[in-house]
Amino acid sequence: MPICEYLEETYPEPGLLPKDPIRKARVRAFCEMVNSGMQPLQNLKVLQRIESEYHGKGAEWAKPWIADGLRALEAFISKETGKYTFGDQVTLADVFLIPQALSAQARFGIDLNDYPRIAEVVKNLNELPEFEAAKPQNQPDFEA
Amino acid sequence: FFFLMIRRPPRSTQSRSSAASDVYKRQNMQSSEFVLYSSFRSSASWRARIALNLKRLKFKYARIYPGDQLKEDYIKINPMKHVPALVVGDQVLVESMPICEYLNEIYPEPALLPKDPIRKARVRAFCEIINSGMQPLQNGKVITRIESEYQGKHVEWAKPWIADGLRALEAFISKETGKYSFGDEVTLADVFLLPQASAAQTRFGIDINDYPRIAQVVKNLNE
Repeated sequence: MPICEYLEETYPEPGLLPKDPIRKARVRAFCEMVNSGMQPLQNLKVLQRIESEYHGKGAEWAKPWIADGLRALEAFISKETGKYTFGDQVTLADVFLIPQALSAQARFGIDLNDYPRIAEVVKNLNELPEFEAAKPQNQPDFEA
Repeated sequence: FFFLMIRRPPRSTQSRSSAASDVYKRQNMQSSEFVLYSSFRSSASWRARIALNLKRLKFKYARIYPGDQLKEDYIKINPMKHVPALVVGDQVLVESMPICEYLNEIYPEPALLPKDPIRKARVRAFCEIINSGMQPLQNGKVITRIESEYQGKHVEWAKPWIADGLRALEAFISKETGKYSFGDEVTLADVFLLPQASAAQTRFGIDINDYPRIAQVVKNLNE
């Protein structure tokens, strides 16, 4: 989050946060739902401990947290319109949504179509070259 | 906007601590339209309370008892079912970091973030180590699942995460000087640190003195 905020402050175009403080807070809150509400519960060090120390299965542990979070995200943007999370311009909310949504599908077998607006936004974001270039399979260290 | 006030028989006769009221009297607080949904034991709510106090903003305390956040009326306010939520006029803000950033933008004094972008990013990072790196692993709903589904003990589960995080925080500010996390002025780093350090001690039996700079900063903030 601070990295993204720094980039936004230092390179203001294109703007990734609304100017209105309340709307900006709303976009940031969406990011934090992902950043602190969902991802920390599915990351590798947590899954490793669940599996080794608590003899659990990573997916069983993580899936309810992710489903809860996606439900919350879907509700949070249910009144929004436009191609992306908060309208027709990409914001930090989209930056945070894509990695979370794609890992939910790929790693935890979640069906995004259970969350219709999220699914539609993800489909639109996947058409953007900036998002395509950042995908894991396009990175130099990618391993299948 | 549907404004929820949850009524229950009071658990104690005191409706607000006199310490908080003293702060307001001493600091000549501005009145505002703020209502904070908070639980006394929630460290995220605690951050919002500190930030509001630092900005000298009065707020109404909307008490959330354990379980209230799971009810449909509150889910309409915050679909994440977390506290805090801050009502600002007819809008609701959620998530402690955006709430603090909003307050800092609308009420710039005293400034809770450095102006220099790199330094600001550093303070924010300290906050996020706590906000996303530590607290989510120790919060109520996670502990409930560890205990009920995995027959774990909450201290055994949480303590290593917190110790790891405190080690990281200590290292992160090891070259800093001054009374507080990032110098002699309070920043959001301190707003996030105090509740986390307190929970580490009271709920998880961690000795803060294992982290000397953190311990010194906490001592200063407690004043």
